[in-house]
Amino acid sequence: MRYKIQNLFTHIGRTGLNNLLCLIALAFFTVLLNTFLFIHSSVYKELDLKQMVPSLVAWANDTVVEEDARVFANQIEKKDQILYIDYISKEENYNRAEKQFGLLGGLIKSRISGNNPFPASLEIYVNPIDSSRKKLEEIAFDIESYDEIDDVVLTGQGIMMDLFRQTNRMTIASICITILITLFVIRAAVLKTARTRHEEIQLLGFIGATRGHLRIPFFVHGIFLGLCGTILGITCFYLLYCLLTFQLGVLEFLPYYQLLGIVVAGIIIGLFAGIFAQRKYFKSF
Amino acid sequence: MIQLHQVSFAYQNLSVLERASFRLERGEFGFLVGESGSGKTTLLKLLYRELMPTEGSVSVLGQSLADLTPSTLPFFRRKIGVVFQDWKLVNTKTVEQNLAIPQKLIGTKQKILRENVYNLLQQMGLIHHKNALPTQISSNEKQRLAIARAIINSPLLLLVDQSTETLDPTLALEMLSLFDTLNFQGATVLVATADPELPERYVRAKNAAPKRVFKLKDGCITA
Repeated sequence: MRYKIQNLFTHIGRTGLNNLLCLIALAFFTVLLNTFLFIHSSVYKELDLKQMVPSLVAWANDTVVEEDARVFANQIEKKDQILYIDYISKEENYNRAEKQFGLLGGLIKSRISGNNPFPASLEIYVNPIDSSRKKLEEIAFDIESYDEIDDVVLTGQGIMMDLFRQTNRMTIASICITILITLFVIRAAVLKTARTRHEEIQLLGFIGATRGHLRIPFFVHGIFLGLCGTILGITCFYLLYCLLTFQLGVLEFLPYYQLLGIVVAGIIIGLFAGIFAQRKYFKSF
Repeated sequence: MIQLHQVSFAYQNLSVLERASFRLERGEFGFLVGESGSGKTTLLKLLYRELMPTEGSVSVLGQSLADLTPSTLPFFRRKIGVVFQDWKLVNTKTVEQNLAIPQKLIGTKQKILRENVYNLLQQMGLIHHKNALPTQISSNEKQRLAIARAIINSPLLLLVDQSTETLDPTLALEMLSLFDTLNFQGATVLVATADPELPERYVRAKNAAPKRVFKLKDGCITA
């Protein structure tokens, strides 16, 4: 056991510079992956907030009375893409504006006393599957064509949804690319170390080292590189994050389970890279 | 102990051994004599199963080598000490560390290991080089280190591949005398050499008991 551990450290320590370069490469790609995950997570949080507000707000004409507006709302609610519609009366919009503008709202209210300039509105909630910017624009254009509607405003949910989809695709692509690169880099580093130790490994085989004895250093080397590479990457990313929050204000860091997932993935990829490296090594020698 | 029965071996189209047979009993000391390129190293490689014969059967320490599996092979090899022709020393480890490898492999306790290594280094005249790397010692010393590493685990069978040839004559006889001591303690010894005079010279110089000599020529072994 003692020799197994010693053999292991000899294996890792043999090509120090090679391993160091490997760790730097792994850290770099972990930082890139974390950046994508961070953007994705931030966009997701923003989208979550946006989903509480309506996708579209249709401002009714001043001439439309509440009863007609509600009938009209029921009519367009039947469209497939629309989940539901909230009717907001002139008074409620007036009160909302007062709340929204605070002290200034009180001032405005006193200036326009007795005459409510706010129209009634329809808050339209669209099915999230259909809530791309293009789709929302089409729906808005359709609703705007009715005489009862004066103007339709997009709340930005479509843009956020589009952004979320884009970051989703980019994050998945970056995860796949990082996995492949990590696998390749670790495998190359382990293989290089093994080739450097070739004489010793060959000798150990001749004097009675078991398969485990010869192969375990490959696996542990892979795991070691995967673990240290991801931890180093996360540390670098945390430093960058501190710098960013200092510059841009409060941004939430990646959740702990995601960080843990990255480290565990690093370990697993390292193990597989070690397995591939030992296969290649023992096949060629 | 060692039994080769109708063994043939060829490297691609180059035939090295052709239906070679010989038998060395347990506790015997034998010389395998043959010219350079006659197949001595190949034959030794067949004995510790680095190579497999293309034909025939090899049995060592009562074990048919064809029956060895990847999991039983290491434990078989631990019973054999091999002095390789090219020594196979680990150039990144010190003399002391090189010598300790076989002991560590079988899990010898640190205290006993240190004692064994120290004694053997002293016996082989390498104690003053214990912290040197193999690249820093002479060929003569490298050879002695390779021999020491082969015998440190007190093997049941010792295979020596032309390792006394480059030693100076007196030292070569001293090494043979050391193998003789191991043989006296119960180990079977097979020394491959290209020097046909060596067995006789050794017996004469050390007044030792006559040894068995196997001659390897044209792929065949004659006793």
